[in-house]
Amino acid sequence: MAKLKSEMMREPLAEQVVHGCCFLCPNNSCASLIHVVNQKVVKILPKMNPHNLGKMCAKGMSAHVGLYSPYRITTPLLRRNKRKGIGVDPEWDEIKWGEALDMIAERLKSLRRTDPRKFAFFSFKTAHMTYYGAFTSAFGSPNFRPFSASLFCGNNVHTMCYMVHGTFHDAPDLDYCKLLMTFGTQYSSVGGIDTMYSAKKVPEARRRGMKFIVVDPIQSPAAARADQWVPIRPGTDMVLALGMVNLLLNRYGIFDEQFLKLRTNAPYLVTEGERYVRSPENGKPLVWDSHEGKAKPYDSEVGDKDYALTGTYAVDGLECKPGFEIVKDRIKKWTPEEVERISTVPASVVKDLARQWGETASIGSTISIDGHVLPYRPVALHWYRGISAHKNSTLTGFALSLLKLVVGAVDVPGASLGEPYEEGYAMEGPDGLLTTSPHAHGIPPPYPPRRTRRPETLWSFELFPTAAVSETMMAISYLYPDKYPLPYKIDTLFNHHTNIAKTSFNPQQMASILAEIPFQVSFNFELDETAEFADVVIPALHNLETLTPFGNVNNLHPGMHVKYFLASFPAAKPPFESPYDEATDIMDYLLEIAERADFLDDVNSVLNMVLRLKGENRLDPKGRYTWREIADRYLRSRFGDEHSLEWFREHGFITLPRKINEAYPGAFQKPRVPFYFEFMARAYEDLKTTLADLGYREWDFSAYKTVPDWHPCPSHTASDPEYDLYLINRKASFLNQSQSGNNPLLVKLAEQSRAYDLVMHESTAREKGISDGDTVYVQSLDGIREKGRVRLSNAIHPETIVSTGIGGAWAKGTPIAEGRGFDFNKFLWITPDRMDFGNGAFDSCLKVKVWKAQD
Amino acid sequence: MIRGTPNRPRYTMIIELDRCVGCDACIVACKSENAAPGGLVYDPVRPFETQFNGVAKTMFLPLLCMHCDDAPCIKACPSRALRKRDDGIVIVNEDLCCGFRACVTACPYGAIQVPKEHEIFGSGRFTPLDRYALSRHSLNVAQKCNLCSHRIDAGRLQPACVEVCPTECRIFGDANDPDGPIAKLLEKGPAIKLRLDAKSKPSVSYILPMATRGGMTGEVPR
Repeated sequence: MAKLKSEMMREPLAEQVVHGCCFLCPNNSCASLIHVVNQKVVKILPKMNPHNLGKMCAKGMSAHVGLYSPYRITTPLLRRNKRKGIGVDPEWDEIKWGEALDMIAERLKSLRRTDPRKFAFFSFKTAHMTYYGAFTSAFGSPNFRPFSASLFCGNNVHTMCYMVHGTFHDAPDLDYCKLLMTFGTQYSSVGGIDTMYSAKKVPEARRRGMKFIVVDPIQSPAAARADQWVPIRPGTDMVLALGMVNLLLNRYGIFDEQFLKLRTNAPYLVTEGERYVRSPENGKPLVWDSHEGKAKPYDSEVGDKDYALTGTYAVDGLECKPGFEIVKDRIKKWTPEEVERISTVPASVVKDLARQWGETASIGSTISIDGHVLPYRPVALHWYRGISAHKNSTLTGFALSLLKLVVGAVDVPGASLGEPYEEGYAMEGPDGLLTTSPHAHGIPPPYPPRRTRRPETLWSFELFPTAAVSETMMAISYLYPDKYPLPYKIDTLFNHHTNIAKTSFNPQQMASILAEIPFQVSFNFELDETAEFADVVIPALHNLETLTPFGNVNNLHPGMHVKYFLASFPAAKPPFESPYDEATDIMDYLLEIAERADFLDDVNSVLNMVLRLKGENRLDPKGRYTWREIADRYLRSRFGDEHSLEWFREHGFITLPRKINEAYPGAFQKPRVPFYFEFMARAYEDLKTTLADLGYREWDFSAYKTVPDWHPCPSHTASDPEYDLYLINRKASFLNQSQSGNNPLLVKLAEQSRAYDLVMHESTAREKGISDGDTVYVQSLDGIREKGRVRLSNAIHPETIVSTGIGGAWAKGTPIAEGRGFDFNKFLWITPDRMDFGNGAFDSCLKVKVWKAQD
Repeated sequence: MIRGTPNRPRYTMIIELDRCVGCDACIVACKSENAAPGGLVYDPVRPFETQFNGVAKTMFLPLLCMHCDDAPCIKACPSRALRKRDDGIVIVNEDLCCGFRACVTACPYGAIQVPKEHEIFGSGRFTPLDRYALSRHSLNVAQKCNLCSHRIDAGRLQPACVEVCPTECRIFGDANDPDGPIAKLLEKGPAIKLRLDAKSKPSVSYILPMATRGGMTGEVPR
């Protein structure tokens, strides 16, 4: 272990300092310095680097408390009790390592001969998804996914980012932004993506004058530190966005004409039937050249100013309008008063927000950066789970994107920037619209819509032509197989770093699915809820015991910041003896299993492909490599031969320069982005035919619209007046993701700040006779009931009751977490009518009644 | 602010309340850096709610030893375990402490604790971390924030809580340095100190949100 002189302290004991990385949330991989005394990790502090900027959260810095958890599993376990369910004792037997791995290998061997698709692997260890995915596809299965995260995380974020930026995420350009508006995210308060970066940079940007507006039903810590908090009724963010776009287009006349003409499909001519008018010669969509007074293919010579955005035209006897005209006309109904009626945001605030947005965008202005004169649109929009986890998720994404597009605030200085972006990610797809290189993020891009076909994956991804994820459909297929058949059932399930039994949706429903899976292997370091369903448990290495060659998969800050890549090294030895003492990662176990199950050659070949191993660093399919060797080859292939594992052990991370066209691709790239979602009409036709062929009779097509339009979530249409509050959920930075639940230090922090309490508005509580600290019952229309303690606040929308984190842990192996917090997931009763059939988002705002518990 | 004594630093901290998001990173860094045993916390962060211009606002108040210039704890201690260093830091010498708890009673800020084993260790099963903490501290003696004096003495610029604070709401520096961060911050707006009624001349100060940003809008609908 390398000693870093600069980090040595005048401490009573000599220290070793190891370059580490935190994997306790999926978003970040913050670089750390792990301080070791007498071979024990005693302190984790952040490392100065371009990503987390020398900052780290409470959870990351307390990871070593989990490392030394007295509840760690130290030997493989075999289930004796064949019955599986919540509260059922698995009756574990300790078994030998060889026996456990052989048993798993035998199962895989026979499954591979019959139907390898029936193997599934769920993990949300983002830094390892490429490797676990390689293992799964080498086996012959398409079923590697994070699973529970995909039910309600970035469903409409990723889809829209692919379409608008060509990337998986987006982030505001905090170097130049003047107005940042966020919806449904705690971005900047040690939450959301780029957690530490945003927490440090947003206050800095505010100090130089950036205005920060947060739209959220509850005044989150982010909203509390913002310039303006806009409390909103849950699930209605779309109408606020549409109202703002309506004012900009129809009342204030503020829009970026040049951008809309050249960088979007707004000028494409569209028929009554919601389809492009195409050239009879080459099939390309037509635009109207107002100078020459005729229709031309979108990519022919047209003067910048001559694309018609408005008007009605006749092309070959067919009446048509530019997409812009249609959008402009359809959103007219979103007057500020109508927005107020649905969202409760006062009409005056809607007008003010629209004006601020339009004026701050400084349409037409430019900025000079490194000698390049670039368009300058210093308004950025960022949103996440809060507005994604709704029935109207897809169209909410469309509506918010319009807000970016109408002022041209895409991938230029000051605006929202795609992340992570590297040269070559964005490409021109069909009809001149932007698509993403399939290599960029491992998910097929949503544009052009994928041809639908008979489902191959467990979550029928093949029936979601424009989605980034669709795992909710697996749950629906298991629970409602008559209407939504499963293509096949899981035979063998691997699970690591995701507690699907507890964190997916209603645990009873999830338990009924898990109980049906015949053979489950849980790689786990504590016996959590998911491990209680396992047939074999393999003691997992803690993050602080593992080697990760490429820690930060998702994080390349946009703008003029260097690209940076880190490796993370083990700082401790696991507290158990195994035949694989040299193991530095779960991957070592997986390679051993693959060898015993006779498919190691395929794993090596797939790793060659997905890690893009080159020259001498390629793996010989017949070879048997340790994870350490593979990690070394991976780094050398990616960064040049001198950048070996040893180099990274000494230096921790590498930085690479970023070119201006990677920093602000919007000023350089040619592909257009969708303003009018014509392709949704085509995707709809294709999907309808496929579903009819396959015999599906019920499918909700409400997401398939060419122009976003409001449709309510089930909670908005609930009519029983007793059920008068919206139950919603949020994260706390130190209680984020369930792994924090069994960490006594984080539990103490949560208790001190009353994070386990429900939050209610004081006036609402008074009407119900509820006081601060009272215990209440919360009951949904499904009859699901749960008890919780209430904290009263004035900084919350009066129609809501908010729970924080994921409570309700029941596992006997995690006694510190057990029984703490409010079990929000219990309320997420999976029914088809709560899923957005466009992007698989599962609605998580519920109408509930709340009363004071008398017992 | 005391000027004109450039050779004698006086270390202190200012906390900008408009920046704190209550993430508790400071608490964890402090615990690790100082190996605080069990559940002991030297620098708690207290959430509270207030109103600015009629608008409810969630706030977080980071607390720590105020390193008072006229520290009641020092006066109260019968065994001289507490003292004020020349650089302004009030430190406790655990070896001299006899656990009399006079300082606990005297401190107006509740910043000193004399931990008993059963109060800070739950299960009674000591982890390697607990054993490490107990090799650095004694139980039943006074413990508190020493402003990471060991770091300052080793030439490091900041206490751990300041170094890790994501939003950089904690500003540490030499109050006697006219060009230092403390002086620069005080130029921007007035700072307040807590519990001046106790007349202990606290050194640590706070900048209110109103002083820097003029509050916030965000009316809750009725």
